[in-house]
This record gives sequence, C-alpha cells and structure tokens, in this order.
Amino acid sequence: MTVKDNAMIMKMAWRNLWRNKRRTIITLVSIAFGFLLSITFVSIGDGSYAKMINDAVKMGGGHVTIEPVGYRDKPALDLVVTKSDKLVEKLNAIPGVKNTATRIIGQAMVATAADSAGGGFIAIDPEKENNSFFFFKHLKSGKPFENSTKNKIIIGQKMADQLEVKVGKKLVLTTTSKSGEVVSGLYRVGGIFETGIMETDKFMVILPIDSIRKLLGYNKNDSSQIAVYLDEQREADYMAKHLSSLVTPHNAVSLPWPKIMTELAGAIQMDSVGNYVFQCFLFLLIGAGILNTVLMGVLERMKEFGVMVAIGMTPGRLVKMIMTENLFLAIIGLIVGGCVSLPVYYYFNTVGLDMSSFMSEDMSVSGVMFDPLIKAKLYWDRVLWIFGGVFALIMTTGLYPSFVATKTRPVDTLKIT
Amino acid sequence: MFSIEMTDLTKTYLQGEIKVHALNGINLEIEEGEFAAICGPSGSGKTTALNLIGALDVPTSGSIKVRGKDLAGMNKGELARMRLEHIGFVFQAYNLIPVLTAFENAEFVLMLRGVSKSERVKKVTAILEEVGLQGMMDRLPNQLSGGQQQRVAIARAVVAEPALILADEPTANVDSKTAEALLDLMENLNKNHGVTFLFTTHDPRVMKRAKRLITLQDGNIVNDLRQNGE
Repeated sequence: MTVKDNAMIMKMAWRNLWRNKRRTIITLVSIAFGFLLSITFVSIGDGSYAKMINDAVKMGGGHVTIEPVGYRDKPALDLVVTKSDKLVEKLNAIPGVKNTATRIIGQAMVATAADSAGGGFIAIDPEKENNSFFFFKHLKSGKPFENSTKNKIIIGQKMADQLEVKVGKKLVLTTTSKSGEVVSGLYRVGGIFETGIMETDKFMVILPIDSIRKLLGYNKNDSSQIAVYLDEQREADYMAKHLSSLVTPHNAVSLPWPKIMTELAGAIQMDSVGNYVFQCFLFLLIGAGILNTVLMGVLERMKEFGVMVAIGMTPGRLVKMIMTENLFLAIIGLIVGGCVSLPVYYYFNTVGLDMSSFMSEDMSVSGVMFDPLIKAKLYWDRVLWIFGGVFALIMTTGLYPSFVATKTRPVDTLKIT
Repeated sequence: MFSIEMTDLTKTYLQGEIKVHALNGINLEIEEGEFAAICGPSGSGKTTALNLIGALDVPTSGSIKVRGKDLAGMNKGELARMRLEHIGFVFQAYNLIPVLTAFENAEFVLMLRGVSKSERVKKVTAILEEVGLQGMMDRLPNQLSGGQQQRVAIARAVVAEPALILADEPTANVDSKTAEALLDLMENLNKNHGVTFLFTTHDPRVMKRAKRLITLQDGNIVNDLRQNGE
C-alpha cells in the first residue's frame, strides 16, 4: 500500500464517518462517557486509596517501616534497631524520602484507681512529630508533649472513659523491659484524643520516646521502629527493597506498608479488583454499543463495498478503510472524552466527593480512619492505560465489521437496491 | 488476441430449493476492440454472463479467459488486481461512491493503481471533460442527475484505460436523449481508445448501435449477429 492509498482511504474514512452525523455523534458521546466514567472511577478510587494509605501510615509505621529483624514474628521489646540516629540521617538524605520518625512500640497495661486496661503504646520524639503526628490532630483536650523526657501520656477517649481519667490525672503504665522484667511508670495524662476509630480510641496510648527508653532500659539511640514517609506512596515496594542494604547493619529490615498493614492492603486490593471488574463490564457494554453502530454502518454499505471490490479494491484496503474510520472515532472520542473528563476530574480533585452522609459513626476501614471527603487523584500511567484501553476497545470493535466487509461478494451486493 | 474466451461455460445456482441453470455451456469469443451487446429477455443469463466475465462470480463449470488469463484458481486479491488492471465496469444503477466527488470517483481507480497525483489530475480532468462534465467535477453524486452520474461511471470505467469495459444495462435508468449521448460517448471511446465494450441490454438503441449482437435465451446463445455498423 502506498502513501497515495492512505490519503484516499483516510479521506473516504473521514467522510464516511460523517455520513450519518447523528449516529457518529451518539457513538462519540458513548466513547466520551465511557472514558469519563473510567477516569472518574479510577481517580476517585486511587484518591481514596492514597488518602487511606497516607492516613494509615501516619498512624502506623510509615510507607516503609524499618524494624528489628524478627520483630514481625515476635514483637518483643528486647528487639531493637541500633544506632537509629545514624540510620535516620542516611534515610533523610535519600531522594523520595519525605521524612522519618523514630519510635518505640509495645504492649502495656494502664491502670488507675478506677479500672485498668490493656493497650498498645507508641512512643514518639515530640520535637519531630508534635506537629505532624496523626493522633495529635485529633486531640479533644490537653496538648502534645512539651519534651521527650517528662512522664506524660496521651490516651484515647474511650480508654479515658473506662479509666475515668481526665487531663492532668495520673495513671500507671506497666510493661516489660528490654531485659524481660516487669516495669512500671507513673504518668500524668497530658491529652485525650478521639480519632473516631473505636479500637484505637480504646486501645492506644502515646508516650514521649526518652521517657519510655528510660523505663525499658534502652540505649539513647535504640528504637523499635523507624517510620519512613515517602513523597509518593506507590514507591513503597521499590523503596523498601532499595533500603534493605542500608538497614541491615542496624540489625533491621525494611518493609513496605502492605506487609505491615496486610488487612488494609487486602481490603484495597479487593476493592480494586471490584473496580476493575466493574470497569470491564462497563467497557464491554460500551464496546457492544460501538460494535453495533460500526456494524450497522458496514452492513448499510455492503453494496458500496461490492462496487469498490468490483472496480479493483482489495479486501485488505477495505479493512484498512473501516479500521481508519474506527481510528478516527477513537481519536475524536478520546479527545472529547479528555475534554469532558478534565473539568470533572478537576472538581473531584479540588472540591472532592463528600461521603459523610453514607458513613456510620465509626469511620474506619480495616482499622484505618477513613476520611469521608474523597479527593480524586490521577497518575499518568493510569491515564495512559485508560487511553490505551479505550483506544484498543474501539479498534477491536472494528475487526468484526471489517471481516464482514471482506466477505463482500459483488455479485450478491450489487443486487441490493 | 481474444479479449474474452468462454468455453463450455455453465452457471447453476439455487433459488430457494430450485436449481436454476443460468448458463448452459456457452462458448463465446470477443475480440479486442469489439463493441458488442448481449441481449435477451429477463432471466436469459445476460447479467450472469457479464458477472462471470468480470470475475465477480465463479462459474459452475467451464473456463473464462480474459486477455488470455484464466480466471479459474485466482484468489480474491488476484481477481481484484485483474479487474483493476484489465476491466472497467459500468453499472445500471451508476453505483458511484457517494462520499467522493465526480472527480474523486474517477480518480479512485487510478489511485488504486498507484498512479501519481499529477498524472491522475491530467487523466481525470481530460476524461471528465470528454464525457461533458466540465464544471461539475467537484459535485458529489447526489448533486448530479442520473445521466451525469452515468457519465461519471463511464469516466471511472474508462480513465484507467482498461482493455475491456463491461456495461450492465447502461442506458436503463436514463432518458432517451441522455441514452443517445451516452452511446455516442461510448462509441467514441471505442473508436478513439480501442476499448472493447460488452453490454447487456434490453434497449433497442443499444442493440442498433452494437457492432455485434449476441442473443441469449434460457442460458444458451441463440443468435450471434455481426452488424458491421450499418
């Protein structure tokens, strides 16, 4: 086939496309609508996942968690990451690492004269985390820690209710030390938080890191976790692998968040699969609609194809013409779809979608606080996939009609009046 | 050299459950440069014969050679190439490509042949002027009268200078004045370009003008008359 062929075939394909303007416009609208739905669902899905993940890692161990070797199997306080300060310095110098947080995590019993409660503690460095720590954003009363040595404790509202304490009251925290002894410390309630997640508000207590180091018998730079926060949550797997050689000398391993928060990762994966299945059905429906119109357009022109074949057009050129018509449909449909999707995406990206009226009081998914205001987020690779998917779908719908056209027998079709 | 050679050509097809013998072993030779017509009543096999010669259909038995080439055994692509290079068609219902202008319809065949743009413009302009369509070249088929459309169809058939033009009832859908004009045109093309014309027709005007009149009846040639232009 020559360039001259292509010019004529493109000219014919373009004009054929507009022979039935209404049908072409309806087809383009359905392509654009499919593209819009796909972009909207994917971006809202990705936006909500990113928000959930980013919120979850703030509560938990970062996008990448650095923890002592064997801690996953036996989360005991005798396992420590050594020389955490040196490691943190190196981590903060790596491109893509937003910040880090050194923590000690463990189990403890908290008691007052009224009652006692089992709980988990997170000990943080107030100098580094006071302004960003997730729980401090949900403080109902009191304030974050003034320094890292004072025996202050911040607890959840449910626990406070159970223990019948308020800010300023004392309680006793009992745990096991690095050497395995049972140790207790007297703490004063510095604040009470309420995240809206029942278990967290009932179970979790926050402590200043140096005060707990002292209680547990840790060295100054020992920790049980370094939370690494990344600029982009999707880099977690890559970054965890990338950091593994760096953390080994510190008796530590680096794990991406899906390995730490398996339940959340599973829930997101399940939801993603559901989204993909829905989109597949949506694409199939739209594809069937496009196939129908393209096939109708071909069947209506069988006589014309018969004439073309009679005067010397080869089946290959017929296929090329019909596929070129589909190519134009795909290009225009995607341009229209892109133009329609842009403002819709902009709206959902900036204003967001408020789901609060559909949510219960406990706004958590797999133990993670769920923000009812979902903001759409699109990644370039996703956009390219959607473009590619819609394009491939439209081109595929041209295959069968092309096949039908190649079966044209002029002797039969020329009889059509 | 014969333009067309048909040997023991039969064509049988099913109409519902009934076997119809459209052609019953006909033998016919058409020489280069002839201006011949096949006539006969409806159902006599005229169009079937034309379709077989034009490689639009395949015979049940027998052979057809067009310009010495046996059509049997050619695949779709080869048949398309054969039609493109050697045969021009004029259909009763004009059958122009509706999205192409008069100029582009005539140009289409040259495009398929890979003729250069400048050559195409020269040839198409000349042939459209010859068939009297100057000033109408940019019109789409639906902006042309029946006679004008048939002129475009003739121009399309002739422009690539095929050795053979097959015309199926070319004057059937036009008024008598236009029919005479079209016949003048085809006669001139036959004389000036040496193109072989083979018509199927009911039209007495065509029968009168044809140099050779082949009469078919019930799938058999019942008369083959050379009229020598008188």
